[in-house]
Amino acid sequence: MASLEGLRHVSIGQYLPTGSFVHRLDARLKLAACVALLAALLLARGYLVNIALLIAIIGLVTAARLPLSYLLASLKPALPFIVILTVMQLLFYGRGTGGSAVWVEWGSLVISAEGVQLVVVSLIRFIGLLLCVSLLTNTTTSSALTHGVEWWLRPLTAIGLPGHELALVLAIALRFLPILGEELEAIGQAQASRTITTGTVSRWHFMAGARRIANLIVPLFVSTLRRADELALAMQARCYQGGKGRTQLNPSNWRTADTFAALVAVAVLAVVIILRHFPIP
Amino acid sequence: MVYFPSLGSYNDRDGINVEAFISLAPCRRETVFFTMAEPFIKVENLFYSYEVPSMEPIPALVDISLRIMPGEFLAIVGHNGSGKSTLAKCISGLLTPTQGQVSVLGLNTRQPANQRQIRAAVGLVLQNPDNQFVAAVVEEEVAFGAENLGIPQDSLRRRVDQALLDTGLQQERYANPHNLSAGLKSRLAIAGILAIAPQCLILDESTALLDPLSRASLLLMLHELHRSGLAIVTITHYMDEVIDTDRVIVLDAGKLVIEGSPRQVFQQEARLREIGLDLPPVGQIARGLRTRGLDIGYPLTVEELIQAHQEHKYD
Repeated sequence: MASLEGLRHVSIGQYLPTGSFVHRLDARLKLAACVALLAALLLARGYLVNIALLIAIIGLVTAARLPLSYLLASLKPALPFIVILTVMQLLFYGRGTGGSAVWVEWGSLVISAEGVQLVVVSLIRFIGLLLCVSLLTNTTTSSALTHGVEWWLRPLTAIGLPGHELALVLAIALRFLPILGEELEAIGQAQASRTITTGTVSRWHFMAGARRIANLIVPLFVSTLRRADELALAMQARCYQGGKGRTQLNPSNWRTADTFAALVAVAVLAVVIILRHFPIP
Repeated sequence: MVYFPSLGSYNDRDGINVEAFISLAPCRRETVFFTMAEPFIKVENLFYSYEVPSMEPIPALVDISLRIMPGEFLAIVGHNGSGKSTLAKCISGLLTPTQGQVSVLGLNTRQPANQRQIRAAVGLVLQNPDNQFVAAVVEEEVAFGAENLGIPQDSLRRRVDQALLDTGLQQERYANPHNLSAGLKSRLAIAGILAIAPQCLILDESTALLDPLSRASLLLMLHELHRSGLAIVTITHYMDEVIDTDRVIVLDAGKLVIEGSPRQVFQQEARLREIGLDLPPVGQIARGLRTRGLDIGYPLTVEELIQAHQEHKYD
């Protein structure tokens, strides 16, 4: 059951209070900056810019006093897929378009410099994306995040979309992640004790793994619906009637540091877009 | 009306319809003796059935009538499926009666317009705290209900501080609710209701998932809250939790079968056993002594048992 135990340690979507300056930044800014960084990661070309971005993000993680290994632990369950995708991309990418150097050629399998670059850049992007999103949720409380999302969804609220409700759904989904992880673990152990799964299925046995997941998912769904029902009751019992007329214990307040950080985020995105037009390795 | 200074700082009724609360405003324990006349929760001939598609509705509550006074400590006992939780949900306005009336502060729970005031006056704590938490930080979790009521920020802060103080959670203020121990989670669920500043706290088997030590400390806290004037309705199947309450009602198959002080209820031993409930340990010892011919009466506590034993004249 070792693979199941990993699920309760999902770092993405969790909040880890360390009291750093990143934690104190306004949630609206962090949301926008996160989107800007994600955009920059997706738009960046070549090794140099991507590596620079990754280093910048790791710098932010350090500044937020979050343990890097803790954030990267979320990668573990996805590891087999990352490895397979990487290998496939590497082998079947082909010669590319720019007539780049071909390093290995064996029948129809070609490893070109462009293929290698694509793989490495994709990996950097993936890790960057994960760190970015984890950084956002680990430094922002769910209610601050809710209010931030709500603020950005204001234009949609004006045309009748339930901005507050959407934001709250997001916050609750994040809060329930580790609980569902634990639940999944408990279901897995209960089934193992009745020998529904025989022995430990390796991470790499996909068919057996898929069958086992089906065994786990159905009871998980049932219990999740039950939990949702009780949560709805508990929210009603605490006078929840939608976002109208709600007040906030910790209202967001925009400070100079937020303006500064916003400028930096915009600058990073702008530089990345400009650098796209220059031939940088 | 006698007006007593309140002990806590929950009675800042700003942001809510003030008139509805004035009639009971600081219903602290001392006040109760003077304003006893008016019960603040009235349940009249309440029937509730769960609708099941393509089947007969399942009756959960049958003809229940009940009054709850301000500042009262009421225990509802009964075994699983006796309708205890359904009754609690009906009283707090989460379920609308199939038949009959429930009113809180004179407000009928049938009227959707009354729901907010009723839920603010009667705080229901559900059994499993894990399924109730919305926020990822303790103090924000405590504030959730009060935020919904639109309490302005400064009194919101006061209420949260008071609720954290009353439940002994000041140290955990910035912790993630998920990482608290089971005992502290139960306290947090209660703190979230206290911040709404209800007149009455209903606990639906809040002690059921706790170890004996956490259970004892939670009960101590409840009695502390009760002394400060809060009405408490506790739903339980632990008979020893019932001993120091003001009144006990026993439910069986949705019917109210016994009602009275703990002493009166425990005297109906045969009836209790019929329903499948047993006496608390002291009561069991007393019963054993009585069946062996010692006329020891119906003591509730260890002290009473010892006293009764000392006063007993042996032939």
